Amino acid sequence: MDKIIRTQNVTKQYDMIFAVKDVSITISQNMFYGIKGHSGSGKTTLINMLGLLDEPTSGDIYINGANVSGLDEDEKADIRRRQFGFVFQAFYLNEKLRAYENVMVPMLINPLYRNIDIKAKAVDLLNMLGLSDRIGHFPGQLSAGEQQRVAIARALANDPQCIIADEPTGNLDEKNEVLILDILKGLAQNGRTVIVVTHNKIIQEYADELYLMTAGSLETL
Amino acid sequence: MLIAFVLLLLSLSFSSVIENYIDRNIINTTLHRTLLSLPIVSENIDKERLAYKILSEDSRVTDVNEFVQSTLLRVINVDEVFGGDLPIERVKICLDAQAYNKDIHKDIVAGRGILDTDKNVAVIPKYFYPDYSNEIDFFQNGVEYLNGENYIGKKCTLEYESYDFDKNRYKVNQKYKYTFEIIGIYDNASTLDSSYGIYVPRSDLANIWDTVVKNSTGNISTQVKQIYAVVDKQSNIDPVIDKLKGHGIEFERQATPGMIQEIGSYILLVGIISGFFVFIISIAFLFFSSIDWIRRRAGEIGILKAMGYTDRNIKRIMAAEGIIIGGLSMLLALLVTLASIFIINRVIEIKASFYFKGMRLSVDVIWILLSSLFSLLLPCIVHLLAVKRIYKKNVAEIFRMQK
Repeated sequence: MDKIIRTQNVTKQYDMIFAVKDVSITISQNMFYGIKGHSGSGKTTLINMLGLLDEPTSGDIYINGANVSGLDEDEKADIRRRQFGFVFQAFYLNEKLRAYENVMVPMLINPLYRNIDIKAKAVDLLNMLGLSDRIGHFPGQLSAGEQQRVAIARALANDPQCIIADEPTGNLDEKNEVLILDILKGLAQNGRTVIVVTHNKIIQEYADELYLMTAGSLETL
Repeated sequence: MLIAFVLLLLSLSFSSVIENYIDRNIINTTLHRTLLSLPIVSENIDKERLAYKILSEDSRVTDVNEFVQSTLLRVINVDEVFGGDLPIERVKICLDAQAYNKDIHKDIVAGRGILDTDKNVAVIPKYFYPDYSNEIDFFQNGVEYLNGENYIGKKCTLEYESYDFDKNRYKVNQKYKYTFEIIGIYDNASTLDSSYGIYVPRSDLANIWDTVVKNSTGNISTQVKQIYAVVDKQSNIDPVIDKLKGHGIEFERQATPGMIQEIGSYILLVGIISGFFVFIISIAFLFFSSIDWIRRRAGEIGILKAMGYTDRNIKRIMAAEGIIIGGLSMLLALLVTLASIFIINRVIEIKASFYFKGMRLSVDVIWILLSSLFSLLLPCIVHLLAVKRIYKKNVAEIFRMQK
């Protein structure tokens, strides 16, 4: 299995507090990773660093074998665009844009998509996630579960290798929780890597590999 | 921003219109451009000649002659001239006869002006009302002004008297009549003359005064001789006075606009300063609100960066957004300004007296262009300054700004 992300003794320190301490982890293709932990345990900080959203205080991160430690923000942005799709607890959809327009946003800066119909691709993604009757709706007109599915469609827009989801079910009811995790599991089974951070116990039913984050340290379960 | 833009344009429009109005209709009226010599007595006859020579040769002086005092005279053939239906007490039906001067030529709007050879003729106001108690008001005073043009060709007779000043109470010695034909109309809205002010030939008015003086008895003060000169514009008055002073000849302004001139400049200054301050405050408000704006939009910007948008991509989006917001607010502000001006002008049209109808507001195209440019660029700059706060920050830091 190809290794997509590898960290080596990654640490994130705020003043005297270690949010992440000396974590080494390897993320491989076609896998569903679950990272559990209480609030403040450092799991969000860890996946932010895995997705190049945050900078480690020390240690190295390798993406597809290349060390990304010395890269500037623009170079990291390029890697994020090509390799990662992000799903957040708060969805972060643009309220002024319709569902399909939200999905189109990442595609607007993708040079590979200059000659393709990105609206059609956005609509396909929404259809795939069961939102065919919500394509033209604004986020405010959608339920929380539907909004999270739009956010997943947006995360898939640039066809990334890896989906990083931070508490994707945190704002959802039980039914939608299962639906979203089923979708993410399906993505992992279809060639993508999925990393989900959650404090929800249900994750252990989905994860191929499960980790526990405690006070900045990571251990395998 | 919108309010600042509207206020700026309106205050500039207001102040420039008022300033222009004061300049055109008050400061530069004939009265305020007229110089009078000190009374001429027998020992300074030479200076009188020199003054005439200097003033006649000066291209800035449009008219120079002997000064003749105006006089208020009662109309005695009221029924013949006005048809007997004027709602004015007979005793108040008077006209203020002034000596015609060449400067009034430009304000003749119907008929013709008075020539040097004319006798027993007059030009009367366009907005005519022969009631000496009627004053120049800002708002309409309910007076239904007569159209001066309807009186061209009519003959009007005024009465004047000589007096006996010997007693404690003066009494009338003799009554005289002066009849004139109305030959022209002048625009008293631009000269700011009263509605009962008429112009008659200088020689006619001088004859009236001669008759009064010669036939009055007792302790009558001697008529003093003075030269008057009309200068082409207000700014040339002091240079002309200084030139005469250089020859030892004293001239003074017939009337000074006093505080009004300063008020005009003051209004313009206040308009610019207040507009400028409102603008600065709005810039400061925009800038400080950008801190809240960036906090509110940190999530949106963060997610864009997470998707792979570079700082440059985000700056472009924010600049475009700024231009769109600026453009829309500029259009809205222009509409609000033009609507306000339309309403104010309508109020002036309906409520202001004819003297002040010239105060209609207008907006200078240059100011529109400059203000538009500012309002277009300002949101753009503020957006970019706000975005600068997240420049080079990683996504996690941006998300944390939201909390």
